[in-house]
Amino acid sequence: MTSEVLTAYRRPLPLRRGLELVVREVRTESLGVCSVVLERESRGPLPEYVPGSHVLVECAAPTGTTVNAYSLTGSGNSPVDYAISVQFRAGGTGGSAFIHGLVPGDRVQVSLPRNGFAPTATATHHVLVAGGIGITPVLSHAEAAVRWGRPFTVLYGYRDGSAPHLERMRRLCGERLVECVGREALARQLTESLRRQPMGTHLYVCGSGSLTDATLQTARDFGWPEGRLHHEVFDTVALDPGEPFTVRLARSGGELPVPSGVSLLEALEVEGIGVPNLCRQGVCGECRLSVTAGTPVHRDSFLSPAEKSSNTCLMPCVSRSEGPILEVDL
Amino acid sequence: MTATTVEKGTAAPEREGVRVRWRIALSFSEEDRTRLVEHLGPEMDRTMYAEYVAREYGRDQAAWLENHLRSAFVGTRLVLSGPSTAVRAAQRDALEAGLIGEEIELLERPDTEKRVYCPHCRCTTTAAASASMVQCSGCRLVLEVFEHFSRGLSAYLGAVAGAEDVAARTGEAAA
Repeated sequence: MTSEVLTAYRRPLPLRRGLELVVREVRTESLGVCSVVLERESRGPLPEYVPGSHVLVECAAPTGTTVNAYSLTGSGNSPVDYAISVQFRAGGTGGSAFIHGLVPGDRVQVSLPRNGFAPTATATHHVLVAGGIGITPVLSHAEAAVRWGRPFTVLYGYRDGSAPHLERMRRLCGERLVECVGREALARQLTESLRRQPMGTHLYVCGSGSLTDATLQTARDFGWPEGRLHHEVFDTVALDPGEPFTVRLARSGGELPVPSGVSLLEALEVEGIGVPNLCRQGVCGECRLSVTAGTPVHRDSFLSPAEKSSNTCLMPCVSRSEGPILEVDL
Repeated sequence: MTATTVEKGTAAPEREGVRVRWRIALSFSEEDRTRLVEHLGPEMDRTMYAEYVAREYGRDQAAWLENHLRSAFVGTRLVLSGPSTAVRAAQRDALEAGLIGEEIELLERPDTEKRVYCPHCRCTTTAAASASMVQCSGCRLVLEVFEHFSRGLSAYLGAVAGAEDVAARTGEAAA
């Protein structure tokens, strides 16, 4: 499914208002993961950002231009470069292939840093959980926490032989880093850690959908309220295709089918109904729609728990319908 | 003062879909405690970690609360039962100790008194709930009491009586 053939690419506003940067360095972090360091042509300072921020990157793929969100791996303090780390995905929309093909000197259009995964200022302790490439925003949090003397612990779950930024994390965190090789080891460690955390601790998790879900469920089982839980998912490939449903357009009165494996956003685009969108992976918040009837199944990491349970909005790039019909304000 | 500490938190019973492992409760009279018991039902025995029936919210109560919150784990909720002024003051301290809104249950009742914040000297003065004017306990200025309630300070905003008239007059003069 390529939406690019349906709607001619026009550079979205956050990218038009963004920055044109030059690739300074490309290096391999681990199997299938490369880091790209971007800087201004003038090598001047870049806008500061809050830990856990991402930038939208314009990626020229053979099938058309796509816009992907990638976490910045620095502390965000007085940056002179923006570094991202990207896992290669064979079945993706071509964004990761574009990043992996970059060489020093290439020009890349990026947005200003955006954030949906910031540290909580009032937290007395931070527990950071990362799975695989989900280490990228956690690295940013850890860099900033060390810089500002904030107490934290990192639980890093990875598959043996494939752990991006492991050496950097070890140097940065020392005793504060708990390494878990394999999903089971991470699950055991989570149970151990989340059982007894001092009041005032906030939990941040970034990884695949299943890792994130499992982590949040463990926390809820130990009585963690939603306000202490923060997550970011970068793994739309792993989203299940979902049940088919019909979307009803409240204002224009039409109805159209959303088959399994096709997102609501794509189904609307097929009919020529363009919804402003950017990351297409439930992170950036750009494609938000109002729901006027029906119950959404939320699969994004943008809306707050309260917004999700209100049943009044959804992110059509990843979210679907619980029942056979969902009505949106279009 | 009745403070009890029991080994709790092994199981996490479910209540309205939210699991709570421990509770810390502060009530301000026997009637307030009765309302607390009714509110929690069987959860009372299952989750109560520490309880205090106080007469007021003063330095001792604040220290008791701080000690218990500091040694608590995530999964703990705070229940406050009593008059608004005391409950809101305890809530403010709990938020400062790192609790979030979702973790604090308030069983408030209307108060016969209210606290008024003086932005001139930053003191807080307790006045009758119906008072529209109060003399500040710090700088002795007469304050007009506004409807604006600060959760951070747990007090109503005061302003020097007549100051708005002066501002309006100087505004006219300038125009």
